[in-house]
Amino acid sequence: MNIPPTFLNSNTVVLMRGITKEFYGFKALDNVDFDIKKGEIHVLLGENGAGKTTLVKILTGVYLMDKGEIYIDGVKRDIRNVGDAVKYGISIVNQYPQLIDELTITENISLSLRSLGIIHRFNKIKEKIIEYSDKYSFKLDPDKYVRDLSFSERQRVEILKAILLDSKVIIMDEPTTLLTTWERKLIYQFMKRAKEEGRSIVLITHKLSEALEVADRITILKKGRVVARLNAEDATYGKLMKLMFDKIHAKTVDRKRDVDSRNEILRIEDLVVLDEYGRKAVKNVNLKLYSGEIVGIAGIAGNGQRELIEAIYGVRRREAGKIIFLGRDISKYNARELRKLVGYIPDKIPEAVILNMPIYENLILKKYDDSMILRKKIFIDYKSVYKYSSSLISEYNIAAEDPGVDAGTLSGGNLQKLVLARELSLDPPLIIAVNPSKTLDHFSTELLHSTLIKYRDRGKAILLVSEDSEEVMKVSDRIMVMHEGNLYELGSKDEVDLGLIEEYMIRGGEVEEVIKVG
Amino acid sequence: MFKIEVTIKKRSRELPYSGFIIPLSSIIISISISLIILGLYGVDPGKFFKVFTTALISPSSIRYAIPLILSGVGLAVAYKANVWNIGAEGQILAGALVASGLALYYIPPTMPHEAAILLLYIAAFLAGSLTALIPAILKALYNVNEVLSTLMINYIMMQIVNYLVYGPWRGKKEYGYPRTDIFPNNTILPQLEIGGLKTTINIPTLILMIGSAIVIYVILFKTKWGYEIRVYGLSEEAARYGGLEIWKIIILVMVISGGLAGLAGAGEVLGVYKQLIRAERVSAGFGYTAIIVAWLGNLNPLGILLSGYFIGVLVSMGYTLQIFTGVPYGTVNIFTGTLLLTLISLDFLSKYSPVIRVRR
Repeated sequence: MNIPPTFLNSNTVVLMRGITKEFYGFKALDNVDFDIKKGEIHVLLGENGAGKTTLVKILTGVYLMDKGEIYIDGVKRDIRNVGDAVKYGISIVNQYPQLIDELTITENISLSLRSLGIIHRFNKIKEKIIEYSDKYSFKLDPDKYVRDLSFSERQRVEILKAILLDSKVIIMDEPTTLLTTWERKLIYQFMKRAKEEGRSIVLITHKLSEALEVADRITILKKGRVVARLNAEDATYGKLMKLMFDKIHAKTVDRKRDVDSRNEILRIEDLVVLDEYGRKAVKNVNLKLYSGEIVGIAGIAGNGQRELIEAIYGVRRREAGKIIFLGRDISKYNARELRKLVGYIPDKIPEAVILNMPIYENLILKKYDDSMILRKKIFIDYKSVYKYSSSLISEYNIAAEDPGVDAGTLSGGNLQKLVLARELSLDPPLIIAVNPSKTLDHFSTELLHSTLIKYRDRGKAILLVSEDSEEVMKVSDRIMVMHEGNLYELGSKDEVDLGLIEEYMIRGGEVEEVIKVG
Repeated sequence: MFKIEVTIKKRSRELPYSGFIIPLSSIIISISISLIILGLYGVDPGKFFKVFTTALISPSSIRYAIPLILSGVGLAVAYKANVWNIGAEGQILAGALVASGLALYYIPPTMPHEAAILLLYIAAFLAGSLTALIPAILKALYNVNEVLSTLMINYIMMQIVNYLVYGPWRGKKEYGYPRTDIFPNNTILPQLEIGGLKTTINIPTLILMIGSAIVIYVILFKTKWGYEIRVYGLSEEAARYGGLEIWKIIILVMVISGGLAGLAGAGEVLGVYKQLIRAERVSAGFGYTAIIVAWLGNLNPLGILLSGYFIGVLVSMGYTLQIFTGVPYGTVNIFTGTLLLTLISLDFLSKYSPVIRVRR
């Protein structure tokens, strides 16, 4: 759907035309047109993987487009890096704020101004932070260290950064996903103020209600194409719904299997785990996991999920409680044995991959001491390792020339496939996957989910931990939420809806109080 | 206006044969640079080349290469595991000290030559290992930085050796010089003879040097232990993730590393000096030079055989230059310095390719 010439006028700040971007043969964006007017809130709406983020990453110089043109104030411009975008007055507020913990707010903001060659006096920056913080009621103390800030405060720091960079276009990538109602209101209020100041806001979201609440205009992306472009007055919930999803979602998860024939794989009783600072990160958690099911744990990062998983995987000490795996306490397993029985797909792939080692050596990280691979008990039989790796590469469709290239040359999606191949090839009874779709495009995410589901159908247990409530909803058989170290079981997939999961993610146990009182 | 942008891009694999081409070309480049600098100081390039080529085939180069290669191979094992053993100097001294003590005071003169030598080598290996074991345990258990602890032990070992040669072990027939008596005959290593002339190359340590390079090569690249060492060296997180026992790796590499340096120390006192002398002269900075040897050899034991020999040539050349041209021995450092510099830059270029774009 292309923009007709009449659509444009002198108010148009940014015009993107015919934008096309491919990733490894997958068209993330296909001939997309997008325009931004002065002083408007333009909502970019679409499902995960529709291409919203890719589009703005092109506008902000993070990705280079394959085809297309960008006009800024009517002049054709070349945006090749983040600096270029800032020069033309375009900034992005990232979904996950990218700040340095060990610096104060002022230092963080000066740092990004400085690295872009805009040198101000330190005091001047501080004054401005105070000024704008008041103006938008952000309540930020410029001398506070970023490590002491909440998620929402960090986000506000990113917004201030964009303002101090004097941006006329501010892109906000799913800013409200992890916010409380009050914090959400603050962001909406900011967007309206910014609009009055003549700035333009691009709001990326997948929430229809949010789009209807704040938008002046809405552009809907689906599978890398623009399917609709409408004014807020013409938009209704039903209409947007229809445009976003043309058919009812095919259920990825089928019916639950026989309950009786399932075995208990993992049982956790009253588990307490401490974090690096000795604080209780996991508070008396109980959990049972059976063969042939996927249990999804949703939660905002930093609520103890990481510590819980590391305790199960045996890389973090337990403070109290039991972890029974296959009928034995995990302390009874030695480290290597446990690693072979638990497949682990972390979200930080570099934890699991040795980037400067060839693929074939990466694929045997959990297998190198198997008698299958060793000759005379100590020599690794690299010839058979090479053959074995080639077969895994083709089975899991890893885009690599041959097993001899360094893992570091693979793309994020392929690295994840590599980890998946390595973990599944061991045929472990339990797989733990953390935010598996965070770094993947839509297509790879689908593939990953279906791989996990197929694996479950072979009678294996899967523990899915994700910040993405939709992912948890889509793939899991049973759904739980972790909040401030507590684990809440919400019920089976049919008993739970997305809204409830998100409420729990933000407020945890308080939700129950509300329900009880109400 | 045009703007030139230089960015870097990781190559999908290193340039072919980079393991050979890089050290070779950095040697050529550094020779040229050093020649220019020496030329400015009035050294005749012809003379320089003469000294250089003489050193290339001189037995004294091999003599210096022996301790350098033994310690260098040991260091490579530690560096492959990303464990920064800077303590080869002290580990060499530990080997020398224990071998000397045993040779002087414990080995009966009636013990057969072969048995005595074997015993001394084993003791020297253990002495080097134990010296390295202290920082290894501190690192494995308490995460103490091994750079500091290994370096500190160097100074301790130096003082101990000097105390002994100035004090209780000072030789009775040495006219008060700070050195021990000459060791008994059955503990002295046989030296190589070329054309009826004795050299300072001792055969058993030479064999140990070649043998250790081969054995360590096989361990590093063909066995499960080597795999563990390399995984841990490249990514501690991945090692933890894979359930590798990290403390065992740290201790293993330090024991090997220290042990080989200990052997080098034994070779020096038993095969070259035939007595224990002042610490500064026993190790003569070989423990530090071996760091360069290890990296110049690309942390590959077979490469270290070459790089160790080459640095041996430089050391021997340094002494000759001093005698024949009056240029101080330190001039050789210009050479090694530029060598390391070009080595690092070329290594970077073999892994990353620069992309130069001109844009308007």
